[in-house]
Amino acid sequence: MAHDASTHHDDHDHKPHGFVNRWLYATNHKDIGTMYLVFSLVMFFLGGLMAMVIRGELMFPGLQLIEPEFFNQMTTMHALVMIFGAVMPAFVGLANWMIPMMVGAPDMALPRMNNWSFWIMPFAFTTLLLPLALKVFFDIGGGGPAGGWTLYPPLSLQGGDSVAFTIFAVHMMGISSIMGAINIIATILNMRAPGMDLLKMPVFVWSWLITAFLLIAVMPVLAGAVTMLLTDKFFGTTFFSATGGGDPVMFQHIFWFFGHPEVYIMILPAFGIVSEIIPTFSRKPLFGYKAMVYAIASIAFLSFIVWAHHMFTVGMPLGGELFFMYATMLIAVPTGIKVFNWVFTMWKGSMTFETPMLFALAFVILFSIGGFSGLMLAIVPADFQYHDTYFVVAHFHYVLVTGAIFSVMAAVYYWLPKWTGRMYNERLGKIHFWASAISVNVLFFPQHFLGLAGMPRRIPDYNVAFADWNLVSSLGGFAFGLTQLLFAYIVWDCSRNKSLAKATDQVWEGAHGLEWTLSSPPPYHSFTTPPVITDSMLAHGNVAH
Amino acid sequence: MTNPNLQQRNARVLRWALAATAAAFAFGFALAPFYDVLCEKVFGIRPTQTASEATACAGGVVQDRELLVEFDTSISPELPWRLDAAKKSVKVRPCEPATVTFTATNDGRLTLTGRAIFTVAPAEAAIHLSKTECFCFTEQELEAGQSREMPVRFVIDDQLPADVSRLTFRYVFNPVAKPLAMTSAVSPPNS
Repeated sequence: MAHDASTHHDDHDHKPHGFVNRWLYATNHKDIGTMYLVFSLVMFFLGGLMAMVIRGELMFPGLQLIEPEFFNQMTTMHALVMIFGAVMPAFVGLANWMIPMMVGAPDMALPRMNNWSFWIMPFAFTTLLLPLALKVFFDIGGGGPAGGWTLYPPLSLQGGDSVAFTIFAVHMMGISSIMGAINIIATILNMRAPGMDLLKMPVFVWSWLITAFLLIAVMPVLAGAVTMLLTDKFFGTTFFSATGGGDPVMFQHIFWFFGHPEVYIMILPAFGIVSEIIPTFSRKPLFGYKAMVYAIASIAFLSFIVWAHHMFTVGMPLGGELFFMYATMLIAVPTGIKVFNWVFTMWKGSMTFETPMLFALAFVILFSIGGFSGLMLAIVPADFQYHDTYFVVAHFHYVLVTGAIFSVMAAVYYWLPKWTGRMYNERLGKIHFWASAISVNVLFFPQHFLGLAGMPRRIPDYNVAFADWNLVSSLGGFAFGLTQLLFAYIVWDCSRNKSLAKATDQVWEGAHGLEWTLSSPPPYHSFTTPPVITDSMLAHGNVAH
Repeated sequence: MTNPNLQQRNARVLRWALAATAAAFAFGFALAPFYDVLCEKVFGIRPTQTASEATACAGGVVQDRELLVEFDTSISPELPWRLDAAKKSVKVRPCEPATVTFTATNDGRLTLTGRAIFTVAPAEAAIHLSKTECFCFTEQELEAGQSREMPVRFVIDDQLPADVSRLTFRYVFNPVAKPLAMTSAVSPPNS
């Protein structure tokens, strides 16, 4: 593992010189992780801006700010940007930064491919956003895609040329995700330091190993589905057009065969993060480590056989509805195991409530609310009532915002002192947490009521009966949006402000794991020789603390 | 990182994963033919199913049962046509042949070819419905401004489940797939 003499620099940590060498030609997992995280933060604010436009229009009944067509572009682009631009790259960024340090590897297994997986992303999102940007800034063309992020035909095929841009962007994002996943699998399988057995790996690493398999299994299926859309629109095939013997419902089946595992791609790493943070701040090892690993694997398996619960109302046979209903409800079992194990980890622990722990606790509570509304949606006869209402919107925002996004924020607060070598401003962190936790509930909880009262999704105008809760939801939305500027400031402050307190190597009193044995910040090339692992260095598995 | 053994192992994972990716991509496309097979073998549905001529009706018209058949039409936004049924609904008895006339009009400036797609609700009525004449069997070409009257003749058999008393026939006219040529005939839907 010795460093190649020919690439030796004078710089004590061997950083490449110059901006282009350091970032454009980056092969260092820490640099690439940082780029992913910064990219994700930029996309988070862009998608958030679109959400503000949506909530602005929905603040009052009637049309005030924007045209319905533009509203549809906003809902479509908000989803695509947040899913593929904010949540997924944030998790990949965390994986890049942390997995090599957590398993005692010098870098990712395939560093040049790692560079490629990141640098495809800016191109993919330029392609995705170009039609919308041209319309907004120069009034050229018809704007971005407006048929919903699920791209259901025939509606999605009736869009303008933005359809082609969206499809090629999805292709590129898929290639990037698959390459990232391959890299993560190769790193975890081949690069672990001696003594880091599979069943001693941190749960975050386990969750990413399983997520990476999901990505390889389903991103190509999405690529296939959008390729069929492309040929249907531009080359005269009729995969999804009844005129040529195709079936639009088939698109929904193929899409959700990708889409449901995709949902877990966006939550399994969150489970991993929370499973690292809760033991640290409870000062107890994780309760039921093996059960946690097996639960993640079971959820991943079940994700492949539940897809049609997204489409109960298409006119499936009763047998199909029952199968998908029961299979979906089964997911509550491994998920319940995880939630109970987090609670048992805290039981009688010496808990403290620093910002990462606050976000992790909010995750457990609020994600469970999203899980329960998911169970309600799984019940076929009830789903016929809830389908395509704001109840669904409330459900998936509870699992994605207070689930995935909160876990990413918890992870950033947890590992930021390790990355920068400085403690972030804890007071501001706590303010950020409480403002976020309150405003996000003001934003999304009333949407349950709106949905149960019958307000449909994806509409710019609505019956005046829904006016009050929409106003409340919008005010919560603006507050949540503004609060996130504080998050950006805290991260900026922690990476730049030299007057902040120095972080110790272990950072958190109760933290265990290889990453905490490195200095804060860690050397540019860490674990260039494999560490000699003693049980006390490890957080998980059959080890003594 | 110059351990040749490690590089080989990494390359093996890479090859294996790329093969899995290719297989998953192929699987996505394989779902297209597999979909029809699965619908038929597992659930006994053929998405394009209609009854064969041979079904039931040996006992003649069922006098003590009346069915309401409603008609719903729509046109793809890519086709500047109209489609109207002469009646919004008809009352028929099982095994009694019925005829309804539909009129299609091309309001556009070009000669265009369309094809109507038929669906019936509730879906379980599909196998009890037999159509002896329908404009949906063939492509229809209409010149600019041209109108065509088209009869639909159908029979609903006496095996129709007892709880079905009301059926909806839906016809959707779509352009016959000539996607690139279509763009000059109509304004883009985004505008």
